[in-house]
This record gives sequence, C-alpha cells and structure tokens, in this order.
Amino acid sequence: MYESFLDVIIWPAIVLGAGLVLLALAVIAASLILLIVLLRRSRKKKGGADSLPVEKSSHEPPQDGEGKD
Amino acid sequence: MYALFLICAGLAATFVLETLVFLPLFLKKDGYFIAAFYCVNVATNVSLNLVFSVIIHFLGAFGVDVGEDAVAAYLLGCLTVLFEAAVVWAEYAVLKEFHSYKNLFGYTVAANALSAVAGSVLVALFLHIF
Repeated sequence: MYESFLDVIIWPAIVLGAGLVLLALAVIAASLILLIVLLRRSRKKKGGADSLPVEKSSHEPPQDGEGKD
Repeated sequence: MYALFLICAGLAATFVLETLVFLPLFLKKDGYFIAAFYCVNVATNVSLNLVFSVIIHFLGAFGVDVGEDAVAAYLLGCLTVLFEAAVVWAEYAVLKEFHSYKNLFGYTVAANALSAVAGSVLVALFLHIF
C-alpha cells in the first residue's frame, strides 16, 4: 500500500517538480547567454562605429613633413 | 502543470504589458536593445516565478496556505516588492549597457510596476478560483 502510493503519487510529483525547476533554470541560462552574446555584438558594433573616423583619417594623404626622416 | 501554466501565462502577460510601456523606446528601432529587453525579461520573470513557486511550495509543506493565511500573504507581498525592486535595478543596469535612453529608469519602473500589479491580481484570482 505504502509502496504503491510512493510509486504512483510521490515519485512522479518529484520528477515533475524537478523537471519544471530544471526547465526554468535552462530557460534562465539560455536567456543570459543570449544576453551576453547580444552585449558583445552591440559593443563590437558601437566600437566599429567609433573607430570608423580613425580608420578614415589613417588613409588621408600625409601632411607636409610627415613620413620623412 | 498548474505551475507551468502560471509561469507561461505570467511571462506572456509580462511581455504584453511591458512592451506597451516600452513602445516609445522600441519605435527608435534599436534591434539589440529590443532583443536585450526580451532576454532580460525572460531571465528576471522566470527567476522570480521560480523563487515564488519554491517559497509557496515549502510554505505548503509546512502547512501554511497563502490563500488563507493573511500574515503569510502580507509577508509574501512585502517579499514581492523587494524582489521587484531588485528586478528593476537588474533590468535597468542591463538595458543601460545597450542604450542609455533618457528616462530609461522611469520606463523600467513603470513597466515592472504594471507587470507586478497585473501578476499579483492574476495570482490572487487563481488562488481564489482554485
């Protein structure tokens, strides 16, 4: 009687509860990983936009006296 | 299954309500900000619901029924306010990294307050019905 109650009610409830908790933790971890990826890409994009004028200026022709030893 | 249904319903309601509040910022079409908004909301909302599910489960195991016990319900309400404050701080800190819009903190507070009130009403109705 006791074993059948344990098998039918308790263990499925524990497995279901643990499954739900693991599912929730997996969802949280996935969203955090995605957030980190987004943050890196966003910073790379912003960094690229910031460094654009610097790159542009490096292609400018040398001023008088530049590049001469 | 009720817990899964409640978590999914809460997440959907949070998405809809907070999107309504953040709509003026979304119209500026910063894709990374919008994606980050939904990611951080999934993380905070599921974490909050998980913590509350565990707390209510253990209260039930100790014979405390939140639907009947006024003191337990009041303490849970206070805990909700504290956790919501932490969520507002976390969401603001993350979203600020993507784009520090003017009044971003105000938008975050308003969105979370609306979501928390709606969530509390939903849970109270659920506890009352079942």
